[in-house]
Amino acid sequence: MYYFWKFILYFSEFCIIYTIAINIFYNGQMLISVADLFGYLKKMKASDYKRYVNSKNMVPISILVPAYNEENTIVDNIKSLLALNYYEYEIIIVNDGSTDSTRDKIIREFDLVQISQPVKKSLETKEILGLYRNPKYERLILVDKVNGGKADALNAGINLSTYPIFASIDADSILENDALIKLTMLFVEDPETIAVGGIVRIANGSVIKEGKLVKMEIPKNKIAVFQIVEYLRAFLTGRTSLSKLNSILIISGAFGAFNKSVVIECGGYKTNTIGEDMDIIMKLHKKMLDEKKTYKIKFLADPICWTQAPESLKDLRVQRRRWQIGLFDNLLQYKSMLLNPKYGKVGMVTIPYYWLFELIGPVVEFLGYIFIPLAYLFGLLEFNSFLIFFLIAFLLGSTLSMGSILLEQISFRKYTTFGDTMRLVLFALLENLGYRQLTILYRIEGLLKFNKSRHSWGTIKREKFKGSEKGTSA
Amino acid sequence: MTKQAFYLLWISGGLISVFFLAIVVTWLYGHFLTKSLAHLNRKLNVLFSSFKLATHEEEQEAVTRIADYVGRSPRKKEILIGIIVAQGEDFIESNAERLARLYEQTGIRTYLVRQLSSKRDYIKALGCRYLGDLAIKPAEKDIHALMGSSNNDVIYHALLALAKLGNPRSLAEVLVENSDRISLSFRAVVEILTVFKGSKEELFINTIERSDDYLKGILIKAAADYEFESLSSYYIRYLDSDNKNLKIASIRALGQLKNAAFEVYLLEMLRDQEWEVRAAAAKSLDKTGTSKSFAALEKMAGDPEWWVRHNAAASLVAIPGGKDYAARILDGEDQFAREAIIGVMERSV
Repeated sequence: MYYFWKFILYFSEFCIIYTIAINIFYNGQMLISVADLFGYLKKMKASDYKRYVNSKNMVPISILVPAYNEENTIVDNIKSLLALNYYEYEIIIVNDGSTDSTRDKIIREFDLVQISQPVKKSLETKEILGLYRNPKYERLILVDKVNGGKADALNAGINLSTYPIFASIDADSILENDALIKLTMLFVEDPETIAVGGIVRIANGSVIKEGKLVKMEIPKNKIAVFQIVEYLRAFLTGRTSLSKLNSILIISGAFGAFNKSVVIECGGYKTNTIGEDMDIIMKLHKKMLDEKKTYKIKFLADPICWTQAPESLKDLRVQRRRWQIGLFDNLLQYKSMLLNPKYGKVGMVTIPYYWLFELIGPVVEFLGYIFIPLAYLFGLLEFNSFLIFFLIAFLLGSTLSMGSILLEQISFRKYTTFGDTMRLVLFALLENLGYRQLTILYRIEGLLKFNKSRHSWGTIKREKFKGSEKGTSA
Repeated sequence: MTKQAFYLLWISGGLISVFFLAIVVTWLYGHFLTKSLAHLNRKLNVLFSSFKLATHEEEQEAVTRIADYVGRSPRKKEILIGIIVAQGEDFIESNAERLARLYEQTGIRTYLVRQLSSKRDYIKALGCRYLGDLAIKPAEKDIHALMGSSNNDVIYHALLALAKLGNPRSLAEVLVENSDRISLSFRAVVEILTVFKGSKEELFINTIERSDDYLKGILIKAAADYEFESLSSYYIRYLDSDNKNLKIASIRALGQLKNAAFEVYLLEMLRDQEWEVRAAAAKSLDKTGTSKSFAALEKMAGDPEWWVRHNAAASLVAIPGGKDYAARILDGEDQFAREAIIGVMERSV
């Protein structure tokens, strides 16, 4: 019994130190992000990037959109892609054996007809059933294939793509008009760039018409607002700071651009996994560092991709479980890179950070919520320490969210009304009082179901974008 | 533990309060700044419109009114610069003399030239950009001095500005003298050459012979879009280069001329060892080729490399009479060629 009490006590103290450490680490990331974002904004002020919009010298790009049961959003998505400001690009929609009317909706909306076209098979994929085009929309091509998962669909898109750079975009996402030009400018400016990720923001509540975001609003749904705060924190601070260290490990599957030849050399996207977006980046790091090549993988906080966040707890649970399983799967897959000096900052800083804080973090935090009250109840911890742990967990967690909102205000200022800004502030404070704990449970569930669910995506209900139906008022 | 925790508590509590205040202050600042900028913008737009419409006699008065309003305010100068740039290159070019007087009297030239000596690189880059956009030629020397900068972005913007000012000798000198030191991407240099306002032919001739293969390739690529027949002898000469990129640039430039007289050179390049060269030659024949290319393109449609097959098929179908010729391949035994032709023909419907 003595050892049990000792364990509770030491573990409680470990949880307190861990919570402080994780929050200090995240706040440190924020400081790096501030420096990087300001540097970027200054650069963009001097940049004449709009000139590239109609430049024939801009590198042409293939946009790959894997679609599985996306009948509600796919047409809007294609319209937004057709309206992009870019001189030369192609849009390859890969219908990955959808069981709904995704394929038929696209064919009907854009009057596509089946064509016969040879495909260069750089990567192995499931069988392609048909290619569809319409000369009126010469940028657009629809690939209909047997279901093989998102990674397989992306590989099929790569096989069909014509251009040296490709961008992968989720079918439930909308790109801002200048997003592509800002993203590809990095490939142009620095030939060592092999991948670039763009910021993903939440479109719930905003009005989208003809594939364009026309009015930005904070959604009424509370779960979606919490996610806006989460996304601001994750992208504006987390990814920006890791990008500064050239050790970003995830480029969101929702929006990223890649050097095609390097991806093909790596064998393309890994199929039969649910963390293909992380896998491809890990693979690229490993290959380049194994071959001692200089390279850059970057994240840009400016090119914006709007996506739909889950609005129900059921969908949120599926999403978070999936993310955690994908993370675990990838960290296991590339465990040889962990604390391996050969892999530089990636192996010595970023991968340990992901193991320690992103993978194990939810478990430690969850156990902390159990053991610290226990330690207090059994008289092992003073009330002061008990109270202060919860206050620190709440306050330090909130500083990061508040800092991200401030960063957003100073830099991009997408939420313009005072009411929307204050609502974000309120949710940044409330986030740590229930929502955060809930997502921790979902993430732990992901770890527990790792073996059973590591190959299954699960389904999330997609809604039509607000204002996307004809006749809907903005 | 308790003491340290209390400190942390105070720190995080303090941070939250500071962040909250900062969010409110930033929002208010942004809100009023937007309003104030909109007001300044409206006012300056009105003043600039009267300058635009002013007759020769009225012009001085209009300039004085703008200069009085702008005064020493950097913000007003920035807005005025934005308004002038928004008028477009044609307006700036055709009103160069009038605008030069405006720049002098409002202090825009001095303001921008002063930016070039700023300690911050992005200010220097911005200064270069505006000097180029506004075509402030007297600043050429000051921009030239930035070529010694260690910051690539500054050099890029300085080169862009020099290109916009359009002095071929000056830009040629900079490019040739600094080609070893300037580490700019291929496309960045192409962009610089593309925005060059002077005679591109003259710039090309002044530079090409003194450049290394890297720069030669870029120059040819940049010149290709302008379809200067007079440069064809250079393109033909570099088809024999050992440098693959230079060879490909020359092939593309020849193709861009859309002149059947150069078909023979491109057909020769279809035999190259490097598939990228064959692919470029096959593609370039779509605008230059005649029926003399049919047989060679038919052969290339069965090339071991996918891109060569694809480009050859596309060119064959694009050349007048090529579709009928291509139909023969559909009955042939070469499966690769057959697939390539079918794909291209269906896309061209």
